[in-house]
Amino acid sequence: MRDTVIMLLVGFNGVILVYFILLNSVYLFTSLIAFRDIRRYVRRLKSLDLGDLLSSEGVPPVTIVAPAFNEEMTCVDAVRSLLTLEYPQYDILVVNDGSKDRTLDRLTEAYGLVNAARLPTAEIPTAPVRGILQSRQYPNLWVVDKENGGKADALNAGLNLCVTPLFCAMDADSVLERDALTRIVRPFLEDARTIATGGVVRIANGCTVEGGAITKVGFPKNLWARFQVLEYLRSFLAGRMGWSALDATLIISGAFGVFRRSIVVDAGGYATKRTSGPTVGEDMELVVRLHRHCRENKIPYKIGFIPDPVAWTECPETIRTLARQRDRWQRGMAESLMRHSKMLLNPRYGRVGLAAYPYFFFLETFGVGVEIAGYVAFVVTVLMGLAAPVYVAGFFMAAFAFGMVLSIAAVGLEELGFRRYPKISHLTRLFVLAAVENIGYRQLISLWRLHGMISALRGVRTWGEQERRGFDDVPATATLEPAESSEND
Amino acid sequence: MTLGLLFVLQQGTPFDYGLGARLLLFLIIGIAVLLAFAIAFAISVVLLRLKHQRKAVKWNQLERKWDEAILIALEGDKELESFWDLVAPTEGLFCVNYIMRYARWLTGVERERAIALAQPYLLLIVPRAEARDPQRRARAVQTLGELGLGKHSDIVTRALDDPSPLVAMVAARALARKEHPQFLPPVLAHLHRFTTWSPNFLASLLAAVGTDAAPSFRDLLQDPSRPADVRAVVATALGYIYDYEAADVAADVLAAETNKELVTACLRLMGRVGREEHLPLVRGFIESEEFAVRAAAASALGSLGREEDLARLRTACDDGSRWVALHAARALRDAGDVESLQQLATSGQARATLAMQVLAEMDE
Repeated sequence: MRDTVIMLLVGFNGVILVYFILLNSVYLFTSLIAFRDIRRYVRRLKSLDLGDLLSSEGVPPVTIVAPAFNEEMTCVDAVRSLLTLEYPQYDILVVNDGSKDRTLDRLTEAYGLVNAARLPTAEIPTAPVRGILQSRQYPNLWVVDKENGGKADALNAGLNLCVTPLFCAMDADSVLERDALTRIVRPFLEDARTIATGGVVRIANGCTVEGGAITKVGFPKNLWARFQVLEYLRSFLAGRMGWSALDATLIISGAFGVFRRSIVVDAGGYATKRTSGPTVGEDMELVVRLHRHCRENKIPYKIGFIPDPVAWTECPETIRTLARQRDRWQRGMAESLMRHSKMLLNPRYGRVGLAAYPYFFFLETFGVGVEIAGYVAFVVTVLMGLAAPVYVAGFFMAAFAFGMVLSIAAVGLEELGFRRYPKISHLTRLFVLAAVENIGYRQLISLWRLHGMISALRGVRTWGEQERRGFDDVPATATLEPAESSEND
Repeated sequence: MTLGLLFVLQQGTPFDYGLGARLLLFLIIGIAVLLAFAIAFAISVVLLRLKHQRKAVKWNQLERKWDEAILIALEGDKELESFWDLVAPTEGLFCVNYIMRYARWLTGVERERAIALAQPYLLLIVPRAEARDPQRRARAVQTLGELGLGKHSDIVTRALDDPSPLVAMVAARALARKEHPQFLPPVLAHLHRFTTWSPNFLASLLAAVGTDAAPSFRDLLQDPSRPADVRAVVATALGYIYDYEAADVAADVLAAETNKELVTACLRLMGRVGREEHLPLVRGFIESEEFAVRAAAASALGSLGREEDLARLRTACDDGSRWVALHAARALRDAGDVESLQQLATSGQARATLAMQVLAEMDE
């Protein structure tokens, strides 16, 4: 019996070794590719003039679709922020997704909303729309009041009323930088095949917000939020930049992405129970489906990520909300990838099917099971007295050092191109975090992701509560302080 | 996670023959290398930050030194030499970049002065137009295009054939300017290189040359040997500059061509510059099978149409395509037939919302 257990452990340890090597090799590879591309990108920016774009008659109008559920604390300032964007022609469509608080009242009071007529340009099924309102002061500001149907349903309601060639999907509580739209639309101008582009999402906790814009970038005081600053840098600058360079972008954050309206409508809009089936990962599912739609219909297309348009967003600061968020993200990814498993290792879908999809499917989605099982195997190994302490320490150190190298490399990518964290002390904090996160934080995240993966396999589809701290306690100027809201499906 | 591997090292035969020890050594070396990398990366990041900070300080110093002098020089109150005296031999490249910031936004005499100010330093830029890195070449071409077209136009024009689309596009943007319409022909000859760009954006780039470019655009539009997408772009550009002489050319194209993009672009052009005699031709397209063509025809009728066309537009408000209906309703509004829209708005019909929407747009 003992021999059998030992044999199984030996075999499993081999699997873990392969997983570890593969996963870290991919991280390293995407980081290296990102390094090359961010350098190129920064130089490329120098030869482009954003002012030219702003003054051009040929810049396409954009509709910003911002779903809002119980956002009474933040909605007025969030919309004020959107109204100050630098872009020649854009509509703002806030979709009040059946809020139970005073979201609609606050918007109506602040912006003088009145009933208005607007002909839908598409017929993606959604929860019933109760009314459409338009601001008297700002004719480009519209609010769609509808029954609750979840974020994807709200996005579809906005999409139905969008009359511009491009739409920007974002979270109502995110803050876009003033030139973010101009920057993110650029790929659509440079290549007419572009159907979707994602921008960077950064952590707003600890930053100062004035008049709806981030005026001073700060570092969060909360440790959980600090870890996420580093995580976001790694995820966006190393991960997404790398995959985009390989022309295999599978994720565009729901907090900030621009899409070509017609192709999204043709593909059926966001996935909901009224369309192609519900998912909590509607942002990733849409991108995967767009790849599939274009490949299957032989439509030339490009989906990419660019690192300079920025949306600032509030991240969870409590272990409970962070756990729920990661659980939901993992479920969303698993659902999206299982739904389109036809693409897995299928040469018909090019690099996406042969590289990005297998990576996300085997390593990011289900690999977390191997990872957690690895921890268990380790404990069993130690308890059975089969492992020498020196090796235990050695492998811990190896995993620790590898993680640290990758995280510091991500800080390097930030420094190479963007330098949003202005103080040297910010850098040193990031370095410390790069070391500390490997002890406890990463393991916790893996545990929550495992839970999410199991939930996805069980078909759980609730969003769970999401605590938010709100951007402004004081309307004009404030550092982020506590508030609370929730979003449910 | 990987610690489970320890088990492998402890068990099995290979490790009984000293391999375990060797692997441990390998592990220690690996950890040392990784930690060394981590430390090296961290040091590099800090050094990079310090380098950027030094550069920022340097720029601050230069700006303090040059800010007043350049304004005086641009206003013509002093000779250009008074500015050049402030530029140290090692500051030439900084100086070009500094002048670029101003030159982009200047016009007329001030722009000419800015260009003159940059001349002594442009030779530092010329070799960069041949650099291996396309981004660097693009930056050099942009600078020469902005400040050095007088002496270095050959470099910029040659860049239209650069293997990098970025460099070619930067060259095209530098050459397609109102100030020097003489450089338009090579840009038009290379338009096929830019057809992956957004057609409207490309058209607006061409339109920046202004009305001097109209004859060249018209020639290209009526040339059936040129690709339809290129002709569609110039048709849009002609619309942007309101070239009334282009209407007849567009009419000829509409009579002869079937390409959807080209026909749509010509109908949009008609909507801006067409005349009454073009109406019969435009009317024919309101029945097109392509919704984009019908929508463009409806808009054109809104601008050019006569009383008899209002009925067509009212019918188009019920078109199966909501885009056509929207364009038709707006065309009714542009044609001044508000009454029909008001009737539709209160009719309770399916498209009443559309009429209400378009009527509300009149108040914005």
